[in-house]
Amino acid sequence: MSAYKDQDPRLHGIKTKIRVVPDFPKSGIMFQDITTLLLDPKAFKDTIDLFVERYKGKNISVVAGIEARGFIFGPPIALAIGAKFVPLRKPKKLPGKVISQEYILEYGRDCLEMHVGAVEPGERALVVDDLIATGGTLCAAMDLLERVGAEVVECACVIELPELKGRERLNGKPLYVLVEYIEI
Amino acid sequence: MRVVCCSNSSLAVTATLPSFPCLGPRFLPRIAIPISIPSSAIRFLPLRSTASPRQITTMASKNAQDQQDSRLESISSAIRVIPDFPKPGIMFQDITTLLLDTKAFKDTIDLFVERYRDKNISVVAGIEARGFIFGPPIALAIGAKFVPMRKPNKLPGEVISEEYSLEYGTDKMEMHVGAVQPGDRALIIDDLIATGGTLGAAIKLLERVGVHVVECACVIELPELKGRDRLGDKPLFVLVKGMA
Repeated sequence: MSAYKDQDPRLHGIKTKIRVVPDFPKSGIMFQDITTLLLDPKAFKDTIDLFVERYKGKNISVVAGIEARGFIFGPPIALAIGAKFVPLRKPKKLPGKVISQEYILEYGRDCLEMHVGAVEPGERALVVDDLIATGGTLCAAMDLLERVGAEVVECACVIELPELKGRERLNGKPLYVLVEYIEI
Repeated sequence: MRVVCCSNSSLAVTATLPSFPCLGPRFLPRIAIPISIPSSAIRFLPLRSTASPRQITTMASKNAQDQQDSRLESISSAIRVIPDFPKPGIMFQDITTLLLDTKAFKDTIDLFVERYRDKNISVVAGIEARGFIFGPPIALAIGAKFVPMRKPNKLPGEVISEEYSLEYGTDKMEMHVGAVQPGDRALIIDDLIATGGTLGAAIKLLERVGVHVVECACVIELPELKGRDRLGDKPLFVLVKGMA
């Protein structure tokens, strides 16, 4: 599901604030830069509000944010809906006992970690990141939460790159995004 | 022991914090005894402030102070200390447990927002990665821009960088060109100040482009590491102090 299709008037302001940087981190990639969105207090607030309006009152007890840009959007959402914030991190960053989930990259593998005890069985969780591309990282995040018995209610991102079909990698879990980027 | 400390929000932004665990010099500290804990998760109780019987305080200000006190206490006790991470001898201050306590996390943000909302701050700069957790909620509440200060090669656009020293070697911090303007009034946020190297680099980066750094704000300070001295003339505001 995409908010953009429903044409909430705030979405235009959000979309125009996202800067596309060509050939980063390598040739051929059109990088979606959300830092320019963060420079517009109204557009940033609207972004958070759109998620909060969707998730408030849905008994979400955990917002899991993926390092590092998920740390920017996740906590304001968590605070507004009264949920815990759980950072999902690259290896060796979290100081306590962790569980890890490996996932495949274009070349090679990476790993996402979560603190043991951060999430309890039966908790209802949201996974937040700035963008979904291939869906590999979100998938690893969902695996981590489900392995400890949480229910992933939805994945939420500011931006989707639909051509990369990340939505299909989410094992049927719903995905909610504010804007889509399609290369013309 | 951990000292709970917070400048009285009715005071103007001050250059240094008083040396008492404080909510003003009227309060004398009483030492709390740490409870016995498993070695894998040592927690310290905060120092408590309590009015001397000879002091006269108004009910209103005492109530406000008590509320402040109790917020700081729960923030302090929500932080988990993990020994020997990332290496032997280091007592790591883990704020992830604070983020699991919805009231304490909200109180943390509120304490910063209360301090900064009327100070005409136009920029909140947050240091990767834990500064990204505390900075944006503060920025949103006070109507400021949020600017991420990042490790090298993460920001996609044109950047300016500042190198800084580590215990062994150097690291680099980057900021997007054009994110801030000369004359912007900035807050720099991180979860913790240790030696002050990272915060010092952030101050330099912002000042190089003509920004006025109003204050540095952290949840935790490790005073033994004297990071405060590395900030030049910039004031530092923290909620909690811990042992290095």
